[in-house]
Amino acid sequence: MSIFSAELRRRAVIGFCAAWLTLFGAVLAGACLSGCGASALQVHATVADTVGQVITASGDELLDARQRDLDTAHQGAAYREDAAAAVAAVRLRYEPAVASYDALRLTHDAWVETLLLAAAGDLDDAPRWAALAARCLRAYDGWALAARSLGLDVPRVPPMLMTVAAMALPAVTP
Amino acid sequence: MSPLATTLKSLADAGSVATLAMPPGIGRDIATILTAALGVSSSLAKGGASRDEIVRAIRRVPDLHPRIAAQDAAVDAAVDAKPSRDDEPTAEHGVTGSGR
Repeated sequence: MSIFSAELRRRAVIGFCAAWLTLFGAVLAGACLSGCGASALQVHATVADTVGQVITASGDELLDARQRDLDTAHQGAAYREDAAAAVAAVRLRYEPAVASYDALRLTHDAWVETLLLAAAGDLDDAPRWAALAARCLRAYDGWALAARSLGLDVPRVPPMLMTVAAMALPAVTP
Repeated sequence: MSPLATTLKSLADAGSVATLAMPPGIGRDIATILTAALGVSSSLAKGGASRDEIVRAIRRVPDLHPRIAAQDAAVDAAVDAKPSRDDEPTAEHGVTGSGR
């Protein structure tokens, strides 16, 4: 049982989401408006790549742990019903971790999109801006989903907006 | 990244690991300097990369859901292969009704 109230935790998550959106704005402004040189962009890219590899490694660890727990759950039960219940409990337990990994992945995608926009150096590139906005929306939705899996009532992005965002992605995404 | 830059980066990576394994002393200091020099050479060798190439080289984080779906399918198959509680009396005693 947490010592913080659900409302306080909800506000903390929303504050966190707003903070990283602001951070993206700052990174973008810093990268684009100051005319980010190739060496500075290389530093940004190296950091983004390293962080991405750390997230990927944590995902592998997460999957390994999930596999071990699933195996233990179904091997420890003699009957199908008991095994199914044990496996369902393991899946439920890993839901917040998987949702958090997804949120990190989508945030990393948005970060890379920011760097792609900065590398292009063309602030009039509307499709690229649309893709960045879509990535940010998806990342926010990922965090909202992760918070919801922990029982916090964080508002999600409306489905219609997510559909529009999805339409903005394929045009420029590699 | 050019083959030269790739080779230099690999050597720098291997050198940094080997350096950590060495006992402290003059040998380790020299190995540290050589590794740092290899790292700088690697950076200089790939200096010709364009801005677009630099960001395209960032590795994306993979989606876990396909692998989770495969994991779940395998576990579901293993669960389905187990005997059901309902099947058990029928299999052992061959009783389908009350048995009287």
